Amino acid sequence: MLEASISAAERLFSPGPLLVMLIMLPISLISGMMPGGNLPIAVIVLGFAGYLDPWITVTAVVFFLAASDITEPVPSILMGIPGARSAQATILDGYPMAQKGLAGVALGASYMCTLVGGVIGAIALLLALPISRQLLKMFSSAEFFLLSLLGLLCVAIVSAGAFVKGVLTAAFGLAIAMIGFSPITGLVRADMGIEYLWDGVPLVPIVVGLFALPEAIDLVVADTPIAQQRLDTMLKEANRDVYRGMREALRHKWLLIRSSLIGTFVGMMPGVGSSAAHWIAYAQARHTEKGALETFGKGDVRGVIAADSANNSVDGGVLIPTVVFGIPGSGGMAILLAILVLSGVQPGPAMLTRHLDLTISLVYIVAFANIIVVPIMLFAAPMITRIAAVPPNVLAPVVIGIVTLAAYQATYSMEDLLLVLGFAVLGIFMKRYGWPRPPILIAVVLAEIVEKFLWISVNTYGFSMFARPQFLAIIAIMALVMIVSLRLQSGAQKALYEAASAKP
Amino acid sequence: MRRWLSLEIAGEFVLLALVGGFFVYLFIESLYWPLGSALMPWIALAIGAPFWLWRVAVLFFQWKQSSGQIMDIGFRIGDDPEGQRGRFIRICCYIAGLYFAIWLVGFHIALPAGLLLYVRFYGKISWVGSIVLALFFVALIVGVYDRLLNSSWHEPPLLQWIYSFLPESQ
Amino acid sequence: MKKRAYYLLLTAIVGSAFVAASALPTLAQAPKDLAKHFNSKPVTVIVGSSPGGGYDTFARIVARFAGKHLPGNPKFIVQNIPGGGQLRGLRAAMRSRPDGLTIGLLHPRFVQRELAGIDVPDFDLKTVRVLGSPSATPVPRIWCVRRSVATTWEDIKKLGRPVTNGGNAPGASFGLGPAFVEAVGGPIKMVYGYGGTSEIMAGFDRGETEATDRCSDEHVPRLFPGWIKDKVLAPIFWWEKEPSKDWLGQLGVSNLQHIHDVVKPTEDQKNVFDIANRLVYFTRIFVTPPGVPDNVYEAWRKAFEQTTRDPGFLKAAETAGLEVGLGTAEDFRKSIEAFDKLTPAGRKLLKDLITEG
Repeated sequence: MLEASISAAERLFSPGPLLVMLIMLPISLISGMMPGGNLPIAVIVLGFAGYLDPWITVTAVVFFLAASDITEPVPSILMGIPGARSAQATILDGYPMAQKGLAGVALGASYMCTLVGGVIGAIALLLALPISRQLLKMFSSAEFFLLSLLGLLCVAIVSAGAFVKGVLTAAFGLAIAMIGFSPITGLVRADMGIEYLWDGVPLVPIVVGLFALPEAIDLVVADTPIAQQRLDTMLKEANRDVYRGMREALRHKWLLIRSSLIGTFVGMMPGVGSSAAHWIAYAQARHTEKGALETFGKGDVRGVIAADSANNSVDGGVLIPTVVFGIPGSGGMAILLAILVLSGVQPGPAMLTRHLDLTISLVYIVAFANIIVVPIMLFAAPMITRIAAVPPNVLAPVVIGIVTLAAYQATYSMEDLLLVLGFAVLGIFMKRYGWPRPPILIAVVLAEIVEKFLWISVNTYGFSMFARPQFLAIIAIMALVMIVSLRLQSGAQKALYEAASAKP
Repeated sequence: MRRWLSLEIAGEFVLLALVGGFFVYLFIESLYWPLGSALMPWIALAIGAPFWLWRVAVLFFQWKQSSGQIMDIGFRIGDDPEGQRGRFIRICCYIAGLYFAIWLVGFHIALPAGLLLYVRFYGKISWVGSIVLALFFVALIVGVYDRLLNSSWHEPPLLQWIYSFLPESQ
Repeated sequence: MKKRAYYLLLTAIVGSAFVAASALPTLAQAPKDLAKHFNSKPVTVIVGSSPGGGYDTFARIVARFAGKHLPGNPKFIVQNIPGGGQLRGLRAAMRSRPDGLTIGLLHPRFVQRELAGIDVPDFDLKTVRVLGSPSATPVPRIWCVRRSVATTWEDIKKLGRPVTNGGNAPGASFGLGPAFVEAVGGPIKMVYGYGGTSEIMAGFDRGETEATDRCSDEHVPRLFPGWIKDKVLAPIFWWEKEPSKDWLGQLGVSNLQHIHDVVKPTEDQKNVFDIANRLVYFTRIFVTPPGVPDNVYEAWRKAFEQTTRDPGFLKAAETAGLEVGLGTAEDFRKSIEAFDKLTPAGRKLLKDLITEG
């Protein structure tokens, strides 16, 4: 192991891989900020696989994915536009902070969490590697099903106060996700006679329609920049805000570490990982942090800390099923897998023996990406913060243009744009009538996994899944979360009620 | 006029009708599917239907709603409803027009041109600034999407119509 | 206000004229000089799936080496048009200009759909021009059951319940053996929904399923070498191609029976299985749209066949762990014709077996 670690460092920190990282750096920073922007670039790297040394291509793609994840919270915080699979929970507190003119604080906290979360994820990856096979063997489809369900449940819990609407929209999201090809029977479901829908409803147009366009419209309608308070201070004290955000993150170090560990653990569950982890982390913060029930969702920096540290520590986790079992946890991981295969490196146990140095280098790249990118982003944060001060009639059309291009990349057809418009109408209605939108997104993302693992576990284990101790343990945790959250909620309701009735 | 006929309530009924309509469609379709395909839709409906009914009842009987919502608390409404309505219609028309133009003449023309006009006349940016922004989009489309990503674009009918008049050259 | 409208109109006209002029298409050359024709623009390979899968990987490897064998040595671009279970990519390829500068990949499911009488838009088995398949080679397929569950077919029948076998989706190549057994009423239950070979094998590894069709020397030594060491697997039958004695030895048996000898289907059912097997392994079919000029098509067909024998191609495929074997356009035609000779009951069974839903 030690030998492999040294050889990995030697090969990684040689001119070739370093040069590649230098080239990928600006590309990842920019594409991370575009919705749905990071997969197309990874595909370009895939084009080089087989021509170039795997140390170059693997470095390029892993560095790119890790680095672009770091900038993904930027549109979430500044514009309320979530990433397709990650940085969704970040909007709950990040965006209200930007509206209060605290974008700098939110960004500073986000980067600090990203750095710490990313490094914790990488270290966890390193520690888990030798025992990863045994560790993953402990969990089966039944537990993967439960964890993905937990991801869904967390969104419903988080939408407290609008619990009915939250669950209703989550169910609606599940229903939407049922459209298209069902691998279990090979049937095309509920396509309404539209060929475009055979593969289901693509994700990026949903994000663009449901979030980006309504937020852009909101900007123009309100006719003020995103930051409505302390506009001048925000611009003048941008640097100080960013450092304040970093300090805030460090002050809540236990939350940071806890959320990072949740991210890594959930990330290791094949398929469940990147989409559910940050929601689970956010929900746990909301129910364990003091006073969080009243302040989360209104611009509490702890919400950003929980979501973003999990968001990034996931990167370490998802690499495990990818390299050790050849099961990709996300679109980006599928491309990494393809690069490995095209370069003649077969994922599997050989990654822990013959190619151990390459596997360890993945850890280095993830950690290194965080260590390089975060300072750059911290440096750039005051500049990025200015987005919150751009006049709405300039920012809105630019955002609309960029997200439209991104949505069109889903299947390169005009139907993508029609879908965007349809979801935009839905999004406007939902925003106007106070229906929470994130549950739709998370439901669409998780539905496939929930359905698949449910079907497999029902057919392979049947009722005997309730005899599995791992299964029962997760159920117990879920029940505990539910009970605690209900108690806390009723307490909070009571307090709210008392506060309301105390007023004259 | 009963209160539930007001815009506030009627709008949400539209939303509920949409969601309910899709639930019904999914349920009817699912009756023809084997269990493997129908199980998950039924679970989704079993979760959604009671909450849907609950929401309808809340609106219909105007029960008190709990407060404390943290997500999606509506648009930022100021004290200028007239102006807001005007801006809302304007930006929605812009988006619809832009998408129609993309269909008609393609991304390469519609996106930069639409942006140029909007930021010039509503964003109050100078001509030079607007053109620079538009050129940025041209560079983005040609440089990143055409050259780098090999995106395939849809064939805009207007351009095809124009091309049909051009002689086929060797 | 008037002035503003004037500017608006002017900008629109000037802008569109400018861009329209710059976007004029470079028109295809007449294919008298093939070298010049192929060199007029990069050859596009349209893949109907997202980057990273088997189709995409093969397309990329073919794109890398085919240029060498085509007149004019053109450059290649791989374009992913995912959607409609690869239908969108196929349709785009079929509707493209028939000049041989755009080729597509055909998933066998559309061949099967056409055979089953379901119309596939823009695609017709009679007019499509097939170049061939780079991966139409029979491979040894073995069905194994967990040794702790059973060691022989008789044991399995005595269990009094079907054993579970993980699968991807109905109609996939690996599952054909066990799916056939299930379709003719044998004691196997297919559990679909797994994401692919790795997930199916991981499911078997953690004890979720009792049997697996990923039991060949292509997969086990690479992903789960422990199965051999711990003697987890009991092979029951093979199909498609007889496994090597060496591999059977590692599995702990000296010889293994063919699926027909174990399951004992009727003659008609046997026929169906053999045709289904041929159709299922004829995957990743490279096609050109109808109407490609004969000389261009012939040049392409030859180049395609040479590509699949190119040492560089073979090496790249081997590094990627892909089985290579040329299926010619002629082979393809023959498999389709065999379908016409089936009885109605046989056709129904075949449809159940190879088509989805």
